[in-house]
Amino acid sequence: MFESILIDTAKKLLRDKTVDLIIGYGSTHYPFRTEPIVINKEDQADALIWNPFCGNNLARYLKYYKNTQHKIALMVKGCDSRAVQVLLKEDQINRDRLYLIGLSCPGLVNREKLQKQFPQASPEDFQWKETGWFFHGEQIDPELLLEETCLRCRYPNPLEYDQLIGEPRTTSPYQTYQKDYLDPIDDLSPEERWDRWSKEMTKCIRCYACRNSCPLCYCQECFAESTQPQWVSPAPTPSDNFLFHLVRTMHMAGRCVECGACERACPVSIPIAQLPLKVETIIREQFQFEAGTDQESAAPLLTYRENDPGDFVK
Amino acid sequence: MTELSWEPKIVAFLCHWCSYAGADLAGVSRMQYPPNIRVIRVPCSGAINPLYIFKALREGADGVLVSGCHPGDCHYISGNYYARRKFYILKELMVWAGIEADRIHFSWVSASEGQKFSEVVTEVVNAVKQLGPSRKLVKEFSTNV
Amino acid sequence: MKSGKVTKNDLVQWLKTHQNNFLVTEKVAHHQPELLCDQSKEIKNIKEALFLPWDKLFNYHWENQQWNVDNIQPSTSPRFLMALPCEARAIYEVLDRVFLQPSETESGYAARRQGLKMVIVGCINPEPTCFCHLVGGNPYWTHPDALFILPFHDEYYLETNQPEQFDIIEQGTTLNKSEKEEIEVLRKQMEEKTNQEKLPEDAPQGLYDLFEDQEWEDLSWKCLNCGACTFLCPTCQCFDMSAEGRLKGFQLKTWDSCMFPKFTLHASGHNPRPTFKERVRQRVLHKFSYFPLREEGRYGCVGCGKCIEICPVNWNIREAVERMVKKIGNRS
Repeated sequence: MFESILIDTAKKLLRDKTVDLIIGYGSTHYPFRTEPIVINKEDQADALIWNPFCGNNLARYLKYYKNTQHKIALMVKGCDSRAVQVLLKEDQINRDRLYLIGLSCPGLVNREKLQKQFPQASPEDFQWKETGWFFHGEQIDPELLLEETCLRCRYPNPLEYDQLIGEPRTTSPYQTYQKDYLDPIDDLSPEERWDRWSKEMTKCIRCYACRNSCPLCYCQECFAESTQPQWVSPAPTPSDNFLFHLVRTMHMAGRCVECGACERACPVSIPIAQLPLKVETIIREQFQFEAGTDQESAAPLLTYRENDPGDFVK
Repeated sequence: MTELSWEPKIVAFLCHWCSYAGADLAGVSRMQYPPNIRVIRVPCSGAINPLYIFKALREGADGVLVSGCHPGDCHYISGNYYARRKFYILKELMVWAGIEADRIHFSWVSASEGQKFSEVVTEVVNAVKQLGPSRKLVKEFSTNV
Repeated sequence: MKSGKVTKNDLVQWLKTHQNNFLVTEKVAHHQPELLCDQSKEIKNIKEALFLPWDKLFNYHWENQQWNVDNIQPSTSPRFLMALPCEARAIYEVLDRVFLQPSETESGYAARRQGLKMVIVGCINPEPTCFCHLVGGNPYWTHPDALFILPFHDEYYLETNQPEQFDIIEQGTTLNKSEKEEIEVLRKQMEEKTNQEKLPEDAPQGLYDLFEDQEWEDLSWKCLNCGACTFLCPTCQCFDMSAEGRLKGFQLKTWDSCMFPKFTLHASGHNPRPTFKERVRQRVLHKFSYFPLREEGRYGCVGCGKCIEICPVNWNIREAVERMVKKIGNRS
């Protein structure tokens, strides 16, 4: 998908010294997997790829360069560009040092769904084209393969970029899914929701892959690792696991860009992105705010209105 | 412990300028309210980190009460407005996660509202009593692989 | 040793009679779901059976102006554990050597280990991430103490040294000459493959000498420093201890990960492994250099590929080791 344009762009950026390094995606030896790579020489640019398996949110790597002088080119999907916007707003990086290579994103493929739909299939059986995805020449319905987070995507195009690779997309075709996604969970009784989450939380091993893959979790010291005071125990008991995820969700309130990097990173498949999604939905409805969509409006927890909902206070 | 002898323990975070003084007034005015609350004085309701509330529940509190100045009366001008947004989201999230809504309470009590303070505490204690002892989010080290 | 083949039905029936306390690793459940019984409990990672994610070591309380300590008796109830050869090697070749050293035996581990009966299920469909040959294992590796099961011509080939498991083998038929040969040939092939692909003899020392190499920096760049790899690794054995409770409580032992920033943080504030580079190097060298140098060439990695499979950024320990091992060659 527009890989040649991407590679040419990258080469030009490095040749002209517009940037010092490029953070992008590269291929791995394993099927249906990509990895984040950093390149700083023109001849390395051929390693760059762009396909529906480029799942990492590369904005996560910007924190390494917070105190350096590098000029950085970053490959950003729609959601990643929102994360960059949040980082800019929170003064984590300077826009002048960034060159954003925007990617018009068709959505990411979930490996598990792929293996279920096409058991034993190898990468050669597929073609991931701009016009659609094909298995042995036959078009595939993307809804069968897409990541949950991509099925509810609202921003397939980057909101901030210096150059866009690919044609801008019309808004996500999966609006219905997005609307109905939380409804089945909302409709459960609190007790059922508790049981549902408790079950998920027993799986958690507290590896912190969710936190560490998140571009917006950049605290020097995480509350979960603090020992003085100790907020949560290092033992992965269900109550401590849930506490960690709830507090992390509160820390993400009004900041989460719903990229789903946490959920994809989870080695035990907990649908962890649902928690911040719920909070972002509340914030969208009550405070008319969406993280990373503009540079002007204040973060919802850093501002207030006198007529905010207050019925819950006695 | 039988159900009858169980009394809830409720952690109350009271802002220094209003609710704490309100509690004081309730005390000096010899107003009666249930003795189930353990008061922690904080500078402002806006200073309350959601972590404090979670930590209280984790350590076994049966309920949490957060109380500050009335909107517009904050000693720091707008701390309670920020707090209101934060707690709104927090409460919605906790209920969505399946925690009983009546475990966490918020109130505005001014320094002159001793009466209201005793009413709020009575109401909170009754609500928590209805729920019974807290078991969700409480630290639990009995089961293992 | 006794060996033979039994039908699937007989084997499953026999397993069912032992199904109380039957642990099955996720890999076996994935590869051989037909061997599961109703009561078998799936574990994500083989070490969870012995080296618990968290464990109470002892209770303590302050009374009469002094600390009182009550020991906790670990459970020794017998359990069956069904695992793939790579995972089983993690116990026999690595964890046992760490926790059962005569001088410093870990009592909880030892007790659980005593009651454990291993069933090793031969691996017939290795995944692309697997690399057991590189570290001296093979898909038919077994141990004299374990019952070995291998899917064989619509039936199961069984092999054991344990008299109490002879009954199941007696239910089946013995192998005829050509079948015996077939098994031998399969084994030979796999052993040869291991001999060909195994990391060179001098790898542990060579990697040790590359401690200061610049390459580690490149290798570690994309690592997120989460603990997914170490927590799902069958051999990672690092743990942390903390006290839970002030005047009354217990000593808590939890898994720890060399990927975490606080892993080696000193009380003084100094951290000998301050950046990703040192942490990633520690993970690789502990498994591929320090451990084999101490344990007669046995690698601290069994090549199950779990860490590669679950890594959010596809950090590949195999690739890293091969890259570094190549450097040893170039230098000499």
